[in-house]
Amino acid sequence: MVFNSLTFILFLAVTLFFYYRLRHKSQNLLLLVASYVFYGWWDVRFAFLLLATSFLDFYFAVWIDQAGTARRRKLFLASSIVLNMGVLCVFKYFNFFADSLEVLLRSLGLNPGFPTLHVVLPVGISFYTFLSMSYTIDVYRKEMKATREPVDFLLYVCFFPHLVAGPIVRASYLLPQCQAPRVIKHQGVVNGSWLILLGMVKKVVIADQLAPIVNWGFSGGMPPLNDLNSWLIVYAFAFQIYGDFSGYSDIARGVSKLMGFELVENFRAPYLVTNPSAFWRHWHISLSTWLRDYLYIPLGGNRKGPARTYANLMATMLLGGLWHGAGAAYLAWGLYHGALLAVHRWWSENISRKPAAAGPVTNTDPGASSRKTLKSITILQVIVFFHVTCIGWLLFRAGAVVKGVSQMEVVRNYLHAMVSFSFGSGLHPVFQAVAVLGGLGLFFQWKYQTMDHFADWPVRWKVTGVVSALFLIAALGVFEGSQFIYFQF
Amino acid sequence: MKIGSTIRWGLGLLGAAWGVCLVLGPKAADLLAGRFGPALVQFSKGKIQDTSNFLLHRFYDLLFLTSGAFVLSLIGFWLFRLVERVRVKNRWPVQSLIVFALVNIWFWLAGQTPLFWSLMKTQGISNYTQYQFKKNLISENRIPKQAVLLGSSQMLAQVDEILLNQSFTNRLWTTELAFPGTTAFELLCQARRLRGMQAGIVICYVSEQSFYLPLQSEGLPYFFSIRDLLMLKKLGAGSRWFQRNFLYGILGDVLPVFRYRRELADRILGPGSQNLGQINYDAALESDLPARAQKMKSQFSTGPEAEIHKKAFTKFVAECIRQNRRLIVLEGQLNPILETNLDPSIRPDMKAFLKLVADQNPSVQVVSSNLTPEQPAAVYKDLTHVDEAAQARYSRWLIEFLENNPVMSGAGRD
Repeated sequence: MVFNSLTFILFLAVTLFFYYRLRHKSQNLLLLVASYVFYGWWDVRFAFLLLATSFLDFYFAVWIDQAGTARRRKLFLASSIVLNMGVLCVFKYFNFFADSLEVLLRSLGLNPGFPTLHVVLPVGISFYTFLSMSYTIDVYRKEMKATREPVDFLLYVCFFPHLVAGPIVRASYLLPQCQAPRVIKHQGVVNGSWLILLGMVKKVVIADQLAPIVNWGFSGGMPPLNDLNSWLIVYAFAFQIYGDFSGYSDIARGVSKLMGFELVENFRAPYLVTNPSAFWRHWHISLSTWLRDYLYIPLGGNRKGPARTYANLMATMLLGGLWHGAGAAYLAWGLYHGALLAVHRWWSENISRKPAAAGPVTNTDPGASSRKTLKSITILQVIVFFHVTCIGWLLFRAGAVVKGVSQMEVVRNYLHAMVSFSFGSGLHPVFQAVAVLGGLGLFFQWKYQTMDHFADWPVRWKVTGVVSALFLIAALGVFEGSQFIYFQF
Repeated sequence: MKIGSTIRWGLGLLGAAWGVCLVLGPKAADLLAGRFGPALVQFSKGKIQDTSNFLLHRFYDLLFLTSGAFVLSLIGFWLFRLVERVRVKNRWPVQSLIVFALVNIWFWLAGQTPLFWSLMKTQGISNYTQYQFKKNLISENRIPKQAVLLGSSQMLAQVDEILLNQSFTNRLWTTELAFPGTTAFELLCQARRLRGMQAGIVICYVSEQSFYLPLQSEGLPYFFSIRDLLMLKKLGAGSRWFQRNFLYGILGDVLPVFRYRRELADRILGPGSQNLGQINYDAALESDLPARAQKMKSQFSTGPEAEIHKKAFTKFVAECIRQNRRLIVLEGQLNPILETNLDPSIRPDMKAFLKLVADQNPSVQVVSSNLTPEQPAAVYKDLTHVDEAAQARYSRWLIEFLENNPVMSGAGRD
């Protein structure tokens, strides 16, 4: 079931109808059932897997909490991590690593003949695994107590708005909301409704209108526009993935608000930043903070000297890339961003002498404003860094192209066209769509803080906003119920 | 400025504009036609002949749309006042819906004018823009005897309307209103939307595509409406309204902005991106025609949907008769490469059905494919569309057929 489908609208209407009539405990039960229905809609077997891993993590956390010795605590934590990573590896990475190892061994003259698993990747497995794992780690770190209410914990993991594509909400943030009765505020409902509308515009207008351009651009080994116009395809992908993922996050947050929940902000203005460190404070914030807290800092962060800091940055981003999927494209993208962060850190410490960021993410203050940031930088820096980000997206997208063409070949062909400094016969006609939809995407980023506080708008702006959104959805929306890109991760 | 004064100013300006247009419009149109007429004729490929009349009506369109916007704004203002009197915490959702409804009404009004559709015209492949533009121009044509050509893209490929219009000069004016993928059911939906149109003759080209393809076709989002729901039920397909294209049609009926979305997207986002779907589709097509025919044959079926199509076609005939139009049905064909791949019972079944239609409705002329020019596989560009030479041959035959036909002399709607 996808958010941009009639089925989901009906599902949400029915769920809300009953939700508003029930008391707290019954609400949780209803949401639990609804979330499993939502997830089982793809494949009911996935729901059983989710239930099993969630139950085990629930008990691991209880056992960690009850364990008398540090050794036992560590043992239960290790079991939880092995369980979660094991499931993730089997479903997501087994074939990738087996194939890669086989290629390596074959190059050494060996013929290992590893088996290949024919398994379907459960939707959103990376999201709920990280969510579940962070809970047991937090309990182990004594940052929170393990809950004794299985319904609350199961709901925290499978709460349908965030289940398949995040935000990756920490247990310390969401679990208390599951445990305590929720107050549905008028302002929350108003803001939530607007966020749903805004998310739909981002998804069905920006992302889905750009999708055919991107698919066309990456349907072969060569860019179909083999001059500077090839940038248009990369721009299109940059805004497609922004519209798709940020749209999903908005709808998820909006739906949660309708039920009195608050999810964390996942996007600010990622294309209006000037450096890689800032980018990761504005793009997929819930993942980058997760990586910072559960990977970068435990690896030593920046406490063990410059060389180790750079290595930690690279390792964190490499694993961040791998989190997206088992493929060379994601590894390359992760490495690219790791290198960008390392170079930026070195630059900040040695050349510009400005205080460097402590890691991929240091600032999680939701009050940080892109407008303030914009005031302190030049437009040129934003433009330059946007293009640097686009090269990353090229690496990311080039992995999913035609058979028989390697990712590097596609990237090379694209880069060759992108630096050709020739416009052939002028701007390609797809320019209009990329310019209009990209402009809309930038507008949403520029005004992202305003967008979040719809309830505070004057009435005339509310009416203008709602009518514009409805017009855009009706006139330019694509209603073929396309999947969200991040479902596959 | 107070609202009363704004209204007075607005009404005054609009009244003056209408007055000027009525008095000076014809002269201005003549002047512009003298200057740009030949270019307009060339641009429209001969479809616009009386350029002065065309330009005058565009002045009226412009004023009509401006007046419409003004009146709708007044209605909106009045409704806002009404809403403000209601003691509720939030008025903005209702006010937003009012504005959105008024925007849709304005687009519906705009959709009745050729000016709007001429503004929607891009380099893209928007069949509906052409369809609406031509349909709306029919009422402006001063030639008393008019015919519309209905059918799928096969009709478009078979008949050259420009050749017909050049040949008949002022004795008959034909307007091609073909729409890709039109089936018999869609013909019925289209005919119901032609009520009140002055064309007295309807010529349609039907083939196996019209009766044996699924009911859910690509044109439904444009032609199916709420009013057709009852008809769908009577045809025995009541439960099918829940299929995507039927729903799109219903939604499009309520929200014209939704119905015109392909055309608006063409205009706002440019045809460059909107044509990619067609480009990808064409690129994915099997280039080997026999292989493509093998793949395509499974789409044709003599099942219950074919029966619904036949019932719909019977109703379409009745609808034309009720609207006092002379109907000529051209029994068509597909590329023989495809026909030989189809279930052998399909073609005899279609021919028998068309014969039955002719027998039951003496005023309807069903022209057997035996009487039309032969079309071997060699004249086909693909599995359904003939090449230009075959089109010219078929068009010349149609001209000759019409010249000797009672419809050219007999009474009809006109």
